[in-house]
Amino acid sequence: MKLSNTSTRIALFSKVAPLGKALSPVTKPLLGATLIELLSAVFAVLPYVLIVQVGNELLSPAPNAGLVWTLVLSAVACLVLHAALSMVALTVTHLTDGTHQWRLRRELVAKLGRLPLGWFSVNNAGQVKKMLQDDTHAIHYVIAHSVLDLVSGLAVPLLSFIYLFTVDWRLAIIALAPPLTYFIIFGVVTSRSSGVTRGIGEISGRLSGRVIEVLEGIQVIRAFGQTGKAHRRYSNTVDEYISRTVDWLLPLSKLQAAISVLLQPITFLLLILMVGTGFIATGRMEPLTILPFLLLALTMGNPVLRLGNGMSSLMEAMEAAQRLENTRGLSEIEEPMNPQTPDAGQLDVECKNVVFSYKEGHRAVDHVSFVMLPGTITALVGPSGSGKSTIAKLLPRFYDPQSGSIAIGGVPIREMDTSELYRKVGFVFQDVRLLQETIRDNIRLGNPDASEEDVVRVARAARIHDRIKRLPRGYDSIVGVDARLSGGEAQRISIARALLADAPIIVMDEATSMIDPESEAEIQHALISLIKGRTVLVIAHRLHTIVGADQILVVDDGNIVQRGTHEELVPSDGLYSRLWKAYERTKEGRGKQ
Amino acid sequence: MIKQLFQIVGEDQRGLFRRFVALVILFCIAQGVSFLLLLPILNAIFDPGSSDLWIWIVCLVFSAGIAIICNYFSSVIGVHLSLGISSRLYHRIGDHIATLPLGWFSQQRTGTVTRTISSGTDNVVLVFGFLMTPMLNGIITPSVLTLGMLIIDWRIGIAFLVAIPFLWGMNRLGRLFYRKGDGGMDRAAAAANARIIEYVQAQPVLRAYGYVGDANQSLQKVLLQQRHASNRHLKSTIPGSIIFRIAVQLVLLLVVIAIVPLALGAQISPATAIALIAVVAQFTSSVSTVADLGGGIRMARSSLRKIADILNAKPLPVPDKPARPSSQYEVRLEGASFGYDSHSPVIQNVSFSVPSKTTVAIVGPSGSGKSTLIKLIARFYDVDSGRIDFADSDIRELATEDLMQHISLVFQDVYLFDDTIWENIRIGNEQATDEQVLRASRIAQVEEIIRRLPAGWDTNVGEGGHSLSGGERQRISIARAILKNAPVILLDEATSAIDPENEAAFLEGLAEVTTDKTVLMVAHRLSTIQGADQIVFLREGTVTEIGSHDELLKLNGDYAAFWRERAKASSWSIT
Repeated sequence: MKLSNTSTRIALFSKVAPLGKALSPVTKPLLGATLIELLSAVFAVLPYVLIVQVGNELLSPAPNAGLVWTLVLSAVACLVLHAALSMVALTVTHLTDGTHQWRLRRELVAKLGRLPLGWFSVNNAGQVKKMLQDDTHAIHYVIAHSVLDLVSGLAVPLLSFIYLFTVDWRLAIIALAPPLTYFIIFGVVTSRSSGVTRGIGEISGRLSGRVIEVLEGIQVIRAFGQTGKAHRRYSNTVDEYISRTVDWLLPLSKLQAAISVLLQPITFLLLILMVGTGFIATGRMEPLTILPFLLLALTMGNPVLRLGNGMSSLMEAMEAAQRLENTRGLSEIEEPMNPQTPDAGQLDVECKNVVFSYKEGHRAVDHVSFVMLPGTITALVGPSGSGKSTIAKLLPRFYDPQSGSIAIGGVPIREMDTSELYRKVGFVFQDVRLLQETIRDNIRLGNPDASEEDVVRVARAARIHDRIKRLPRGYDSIVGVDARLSGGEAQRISIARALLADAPIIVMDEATSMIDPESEAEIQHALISLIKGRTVLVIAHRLHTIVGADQILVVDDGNIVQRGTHEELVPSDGLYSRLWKAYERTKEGRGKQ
Repeated sequence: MIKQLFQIVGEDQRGLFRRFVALVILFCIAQGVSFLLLLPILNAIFDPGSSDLWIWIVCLVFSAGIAIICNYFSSVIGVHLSLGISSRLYHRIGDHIATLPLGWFSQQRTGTVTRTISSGTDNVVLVFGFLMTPMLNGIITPSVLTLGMLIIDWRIGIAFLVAIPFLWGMNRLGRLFYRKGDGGMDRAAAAANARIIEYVQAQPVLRAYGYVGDANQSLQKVLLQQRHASNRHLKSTIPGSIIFRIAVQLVLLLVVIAIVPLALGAQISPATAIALIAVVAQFTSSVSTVADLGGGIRMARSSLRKIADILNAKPLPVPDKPARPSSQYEVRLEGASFGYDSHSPVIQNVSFSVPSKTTVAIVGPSGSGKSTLIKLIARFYDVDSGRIDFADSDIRELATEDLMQHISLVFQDVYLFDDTIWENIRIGNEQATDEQVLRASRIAQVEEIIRRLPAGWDTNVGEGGHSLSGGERQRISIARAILKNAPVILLDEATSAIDPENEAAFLEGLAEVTTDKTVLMVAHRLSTIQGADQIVFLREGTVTEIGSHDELLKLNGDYAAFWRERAKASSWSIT
């Protein structure tokens, strides 16, 4: 495990930059903390130096008791200082981290508020979650702990070595030999085995894929008697994983075992006593000289292990910083320099030659043009995947088209402040999300200045007032706490909210009412109150719901292939009449004629 | 923990495990002895007349040599053990989950179990590589040193003896402080994170009403609260992380302070005094490494527990002598009751039967137990009381393969393997010819999907089939069911998964798969409900009405009310 961790060290330098950037606002306090920690390290080594002096004094023919006690008490004082300084350094890093985390989250919140709405898919919400939970934690750890750990892990042995070097440079260098040898061999081994590490990474990825398959696919596996086969696929992958790891790890394990012996205190003890007594016996060294080595050199191997820990948390932080950096780099929705406002009277919507693609090469919306007159209903119909939902989502700027323009009352939506745009365009889609606040505040989101009467009025219109009254604290019940609402109920609250906001243009998905078959009728009533008297763009799935629309746009493969009213479209030979026939064939469709 | 580990280690590796532990123990003892040898060696060094020096040095070389050799071999064996155990764990878990009831595999659970299996086994393996040796070292080496000290000088020995519980207590205390502090911080961070996630998910609505960035004051308030919380908890965090370090140094100093008067009073030689100080330094450093390992040990322990939870999950009971299903594929429930936990029954005393080749539709409000009822028949769970018969035998008397062979499940959460669409359909019947697969695909309207995809039949559906829509996945599951051609169909007619655009296609496929079959379905479509031979109305887990569509309408009860409401909704038009 340690081997594979540290082998990524090679890629370390390319990853330092984002972390450096992530930490740049806290460089100064971190530098200060580092200096304090360095000072603290001095006071950690100093007591041993003093104790060596105690030894010297005790070994002198007539020990001076007063001096001995002074030395011992000075050592105590040093340790107290060491602890106090460490505490100060830790306090500094934690305070710094607290501020930094706060800034980081604020920055993230601000950034998220400027991303195009289309970015907020399920996938990306999960990514934000990961960033918040794991990445900010990784960065917290580096700022609050790792930096100091690394400083003390390096400074203490280094200071010890300097001191020992002044005492006896030959023995000091001999004491340095084992950790140096360790690093050299380790470096050579890891740089040679990076290819194998990748191979293991690949197969271990495949193994977790198999685990997921066995767990999530279990129903299918059992239902179709594939238990044996799926199980074999799993065990074969396990065996391959193990045998690949064995091939890689076993030859290395002997070398690894041999070099880790180098870091054991026992190795230092043996080395120093053997060489030291040799030096003493041959008169090359005073017997006293060996004392500081016995006190300070034995634990020179320990920091190496601590460095390993610090390194792996640094590594995590680097990846975290990279992800944060990626988020910073996401392109934002453009706000106009000189925002314009359409006149209140003439709010027709005009799409002209609009082209939009999610990814290079395939146009989800291909040169679409249409006009929506004030107070009319326009329906988008077409097979699933035809692009009708995408067209609808361009109006509230979930995405910005690559070319063409969308204008409200003659003003291109890109030239409007987004807040102004959303005062003009409201939308009701299938995914509703209520905030963990009171029901009243959730409705009032649409208009914070609304009176209590207005809130109740829209709740009634959205057919949710009675349900709210039945909640333990009525309008003061908190969503998710004492107001547990079904999907259909949440949907009606969101409709009440849109009613309160009173935007003249509404974009909606007709399937909204299907999210909850048990309260479908109620949602339908709510939707009817919402669209009354407004300009409506509706994504239609069930054709009977929009037979009365003022204008039906038939979408296929990103193009509008037909347009007109239901009466005009049914007789003409085209996609609409085919869709209508197919729809009628389902008994469901026929049931309502 | 060693006991827990011993249970996980396979029979064939117990010997290796014992050898590993023995080597580590021997290493610790030899190391302790080597450090104790410092006393005579230093005394000999500072006594110019002594001739014992080289004898002691030879002793040291001997004991240190043993320690080093043991350390080397224990590391090598540790790697062997790790690999052996990880292989065995993977296989044992794999074998065990194959025997668990389907109900065990809930969606949340599969997520955590996946994590337990992949990272949990790694954590357990880590024990042998990096935790075991320092852990035993932190316990045994100080004990050896203490024992040696008691023999050499009882006063110092007693000091050592007192130091062990003291350090241990301080470590616990520090951790307590620390955990309290960090816990508070974690909670504040979790609260802030939850609000940010809400902010992300509610982004469209917040955007629409202008509550983004600094304008969202309630979110900004939570963020600020988190900042204050983290500052507040600093007070307990900092002492927590430093208390143990202070304690370790305190022990070192106290022993020095105890040794100095002895040396000054010439009760012990200066050389002994210095050797003692070196031994104490070693003593405290091996104790502190154990403290450093705390996090790793906790992680390994929780992984061990989670793995044990999986391995202890109760397998689906299978009969010793399974009954043979008859060729009359009738499903009969008699007083069936079931609850996910003992105090809230989901299904209560349900009795009805689905005669061979007839269709029963289950309808009722959401949460009335419709899906659970269907799952009981496929033995996702076993009933708590009553019985379910399939083809004249209690399903618990049938072999799992026999039961599954005769049932097709068409559910809304269809899992597709990370493979081509072709292979995913063929799962329905491995022996099917290409013509049969094509025919099933045509009937289930899968061909229409294939035509739209650039890579056609060779399109890889991605892990779990997530590159296809819910409706598309359900059509593939119908194609599978057509290929399988089982006499009994259990169907959960999803509302969410089907694109209304594809409804016609879906219904045609469904008609094909259900012809001449025994069908039990959770139905939402009025047409399918109306066409059923029998309708079972379920309310809060009990059957309130049962009969044909016309009979139940005449009854003018639950079903009639339900029907009127749904009929009104389905004729809705927004204009």
